[in-house]
Amino acid sequence: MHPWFVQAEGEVVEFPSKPVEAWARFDDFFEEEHERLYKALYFVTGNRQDAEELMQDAFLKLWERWGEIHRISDPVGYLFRVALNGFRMRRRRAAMAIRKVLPVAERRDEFLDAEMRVDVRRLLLEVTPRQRAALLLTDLLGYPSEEAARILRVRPSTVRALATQGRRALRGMEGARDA
Amino acid sequence: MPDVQEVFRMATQKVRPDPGAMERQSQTQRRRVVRQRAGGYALLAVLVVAGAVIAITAVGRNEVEPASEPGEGVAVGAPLTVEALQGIWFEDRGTGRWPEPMMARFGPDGSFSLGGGTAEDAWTSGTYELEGHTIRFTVSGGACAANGAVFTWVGGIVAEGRLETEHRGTVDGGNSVGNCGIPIGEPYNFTRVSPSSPAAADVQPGYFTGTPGPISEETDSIDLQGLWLVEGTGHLLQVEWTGRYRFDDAGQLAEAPRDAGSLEIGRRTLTFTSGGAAGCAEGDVLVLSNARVEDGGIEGTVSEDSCGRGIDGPVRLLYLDAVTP
Repeated sequence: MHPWFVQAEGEVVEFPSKPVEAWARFDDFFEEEHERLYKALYFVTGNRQDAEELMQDAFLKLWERWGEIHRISDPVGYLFRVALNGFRMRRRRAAMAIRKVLPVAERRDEFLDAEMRVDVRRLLLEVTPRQRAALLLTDLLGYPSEEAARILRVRPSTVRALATQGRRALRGMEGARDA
Repeated sequence: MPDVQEVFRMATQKVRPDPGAMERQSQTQRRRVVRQRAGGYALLAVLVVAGAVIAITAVGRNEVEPASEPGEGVAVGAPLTVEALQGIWFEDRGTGRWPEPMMARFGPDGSFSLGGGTAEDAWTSGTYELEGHTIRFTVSGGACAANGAVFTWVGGIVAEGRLETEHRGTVDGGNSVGNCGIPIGEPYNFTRVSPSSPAAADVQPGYFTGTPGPISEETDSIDLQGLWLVEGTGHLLQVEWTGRYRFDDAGQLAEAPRDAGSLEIGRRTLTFTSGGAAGCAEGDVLVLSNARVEDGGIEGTVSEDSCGRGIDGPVRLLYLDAVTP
């Protein structure tokens, strides 16, 4: 057993895992961030199930490091980074499976929700998932292209190109806002 | 033209996680814990069997080691000096599923951090003073929230690169250091890992639980984040989840690393590109080729080292952090 403990309200809790206290704070963190992350992942993947799974995996990874959360200067950034890394790895695995001519389980749910306006759906389907990921990182989360490139494991110039292509696709859908 | 913010809002305004997201997350976490425990029990069984074999063999040869006494070695050895303490020290307190290494850093300027190799990840940090065999710590930072606390350790250098100490509590007679309680009399047996010491040859933590196999494009800096020791050297490597790294062999990883820059991960390759720290020029690279996760560490071959760190050929990186990536 580790010799360092955290004492809280008369109780001695092992340090640094702090299970009870940390669990409560992780729950708070989950409640605070999960909807935003889910929406971001839905925006990128276009699929509710993928978004949910990626979100759970990302939170799971953070939960495993929760005992040392103080070492992660930006937990929200960490969470999004893990989630988008998971998205990148999934796409890569899918691409490899296609190359090997293996059947890939396809879950077509790309923005087909009945509640989404047809024009917005059409608009998003014009933008590829990689372009959406680049737009998410640069335009929505505000990462510089160098950091976005690091997350997507591509060159900064590729991020800029993807984002430009994505914006161009949006421009091509003139009128969607007013439809 | 709708901008990205507006498209995002329009696309996701009615999209919310299904109810019960927290419950599903909890179930996922419980499944992970069960799997980890199952793995831990399997490992424990292997260790018990191995231990039994070793014990039977030792008894057969009548070569049982004498048991050490509590506190043995404390306040013995050479008195403490700043020169002898300067560097980063490591104690492998690994037991059970969650090993807990202890790091201690003593700076030449009288600064210290305990619990982590740098002030940012320390449980306590501040300044220290020496008097004979006593280290007197004055805390000014760290996760224990003990600012202003003063506590002492008593010990000595028992061999080159070996420090044995014992916690003697705070100067006002308590054992708590802020929020952290440490039993008075708790022994610490440190090995200096940076700068290199002969004792560091025995450091074999093997905490890394990455899947054995080649490093690939799928490997992320998040998977490698933490503190690594280049086996047989005093080189410590700290990888941040952002892909930034620090590299140093003089016990100055925290204050003035010899090298710092960014890590690029490729197929079987780790490329460290210097951002122009004190000891390396901007753009200097260290390339670890044929990199693979093996036996709780990373193995590979240094195929290029334009900064001249003195590392060449096959190397092994030992993971010193407690939390598995």
